[in-house]
Amino acid sequence: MDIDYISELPADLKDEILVKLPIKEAVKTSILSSKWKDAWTSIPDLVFERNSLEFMTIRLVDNVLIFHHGPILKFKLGSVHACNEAISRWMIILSRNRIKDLELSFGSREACKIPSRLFSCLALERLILSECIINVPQNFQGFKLLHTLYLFSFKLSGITTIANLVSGCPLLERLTLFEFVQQGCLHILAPNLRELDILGEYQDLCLETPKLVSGWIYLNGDHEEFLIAKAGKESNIKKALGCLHNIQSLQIGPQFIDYLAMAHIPENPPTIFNCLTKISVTVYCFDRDEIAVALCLFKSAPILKVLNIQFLDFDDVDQLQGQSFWKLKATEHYCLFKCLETLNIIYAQDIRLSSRNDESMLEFAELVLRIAPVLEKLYIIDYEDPMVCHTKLKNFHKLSEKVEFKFI
Amino acid sequence: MIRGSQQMPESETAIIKPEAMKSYIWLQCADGSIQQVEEEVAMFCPTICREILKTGSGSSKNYAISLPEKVSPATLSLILDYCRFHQVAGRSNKERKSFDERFVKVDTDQLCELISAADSLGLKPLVDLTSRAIARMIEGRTPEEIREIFHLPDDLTEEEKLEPLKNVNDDPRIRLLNRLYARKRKELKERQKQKEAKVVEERKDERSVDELLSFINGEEGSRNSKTTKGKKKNRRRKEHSKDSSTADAYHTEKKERANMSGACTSSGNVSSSPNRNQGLREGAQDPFALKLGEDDYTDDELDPAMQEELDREVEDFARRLNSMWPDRVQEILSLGQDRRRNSSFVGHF
Repeated sequence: MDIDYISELPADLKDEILVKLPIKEAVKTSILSSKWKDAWTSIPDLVFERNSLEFMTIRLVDNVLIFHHGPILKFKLGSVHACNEAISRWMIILSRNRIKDLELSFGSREACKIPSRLFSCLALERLILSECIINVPQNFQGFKLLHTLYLFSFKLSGITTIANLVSGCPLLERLTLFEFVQQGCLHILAPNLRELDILGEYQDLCLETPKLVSGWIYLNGDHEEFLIAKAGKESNIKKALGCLHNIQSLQIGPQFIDYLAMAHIPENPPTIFNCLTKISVTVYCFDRDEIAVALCLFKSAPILKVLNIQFLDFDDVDQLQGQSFWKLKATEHYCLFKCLETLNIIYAQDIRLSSRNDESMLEFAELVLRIAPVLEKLYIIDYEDPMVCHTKLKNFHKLSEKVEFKFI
Repeated sequence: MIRGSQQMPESETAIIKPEAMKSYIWLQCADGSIQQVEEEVAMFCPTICREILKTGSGSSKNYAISLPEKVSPATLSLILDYCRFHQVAGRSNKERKSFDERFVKVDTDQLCELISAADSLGLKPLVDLTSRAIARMIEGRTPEEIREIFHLPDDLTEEEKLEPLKNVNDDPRIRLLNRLYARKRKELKERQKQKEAKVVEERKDERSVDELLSFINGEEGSRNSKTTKGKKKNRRRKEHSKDSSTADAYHTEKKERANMSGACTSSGNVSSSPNRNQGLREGAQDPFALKLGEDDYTDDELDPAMQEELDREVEDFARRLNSMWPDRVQEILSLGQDRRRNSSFVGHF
């Protein structure tokens, strides 16, 4: 006698199973038998995502939302070409549902306006928005439970600033801001933030995020726009990164270093990052200011263990004086590279190799070898002519006994 | 819920521990059978753990912990195997994963018992693992297959069965394909009957397929795929992706869309030869029909060669739909749907 075990499972176990099916298949289980007719309607997560050849239509989402009953804890919408009206009506239903996890990624064709109802979903803990226009309403009380916020390719309309949005979320731990434009200063006030990724256009940066552990900061911009930055007397390093006492891993892009180099660059680092063990930088090797900033940064990390550095070069600049920047600027400093164990030098694949690039790289390598007492690994990645380089490297004076060279 | 056993008298707790190097916990199933298991293994189950800590039971045969009804002796053994493996701290993720994969290679009845037992013992990761395994058995299968695997009674009325399908299966592309399929069948049948006009018919057939395609492109004429290059870039951004798409891609996309919407609104004004016109209008009916119209597909006997040709053509069409213009097709079709609701066009054939 074949017993129907599965239908006797309690509703929450049926939910566990149904939630792991693509939404269309979950809905289809309603034709299996009488006990499964309404089983799917109580699943707590609704994920509308394209899988292989199928598309999600507005009609499907509408119908699922109509038939669904019970709390909706997670709602994910991807690759639905939804118009603004559809989103509005879905948001009404979701805001009544104490939703915790919301992810909306619209097709990249036309940014979708986020309805203001989103901002009354006060139970939100995780919010991901992509390709959208955000207008934070005046009476926004903040998402008091939000711990993760990822915003991709977004625009802010009205008088909203990113600062408004972020400061309303005191528990925020993870923040990603990707492809956006912020006029003026990007001010991030987030006392509990641990991870931060920024890639966008802004003129100035101020991070009040003392608990930050991992930072990834890139900037799309031009020299001309950094007027505010230039005017400041205080060092930009201090202004932007001064609060990050707990930071462990920091990755910054070339234009951000440019920005840091705009204002005064102190000889001695303004802040010491006592937990910083990993730095990844991209430098233009012949900009003396950038090199100064990079060195300042290295000096401010006494327990730095891993350094990833990538050298870029301008095509049109012909600075012969650039040659000994590293040597000039790197006065012996009690903190510099004293704990460094791994140095990875990266050549980007599509950058034309110039001999000056090589020289700068070799200079830097020489410097590090000379002053790093516990260096174990020096890896050079994506380099075209390892043999020559290897011989040169071998000839440098090494402070540490067991340095291993490797070309990857 | 575990029904706790009696409290242990104070004096006995002092005596139990010292002698054995390993301590064992005694577990009793609903049918009365008792199993003995190492303490650390038993403690891996949250509910057993709580019971031990709360009431101190389980440390001797007489004071075995009673397990809920859902946990049969055989299932209990399996679960204890699971616990025994996973409670060892040093195992790598890879090892754990392959153990898990092997663990759920049991028949469906066993899986159902496992998930139930795991739930009552509070083993959330095992519930997760088993539910995923069960979901895998359901996914991609027809209702009949699922009913067979899980021994489900087929006790819904036809009407009840139809209800959700209407909501789910409204993918306009699928309906479009079905319509095309039926239409092609009809045409091929006619072709069989009218052998003299065969050549002309074929040409008309092919043309109408192409016209359908170009209509869907939103263009009149045969401007082809040169604008789809921008489309092929995968620009869906997942969490933590560090790629930045270029402004160029954006611009091409935006332009394409502008082209499309323009073409869409002028789709009614086809002013070419009558045959082409008819073809286009017929094509126009397909995406705009709301009715499911499954009764159109009566199974006629077709010459197997014809059947093959038919299948090939539909497959080709489907492939083209899917691979080249998925998003645009979708867009036009859904735009079309919205417009359709306003008109009183009944549209089916």
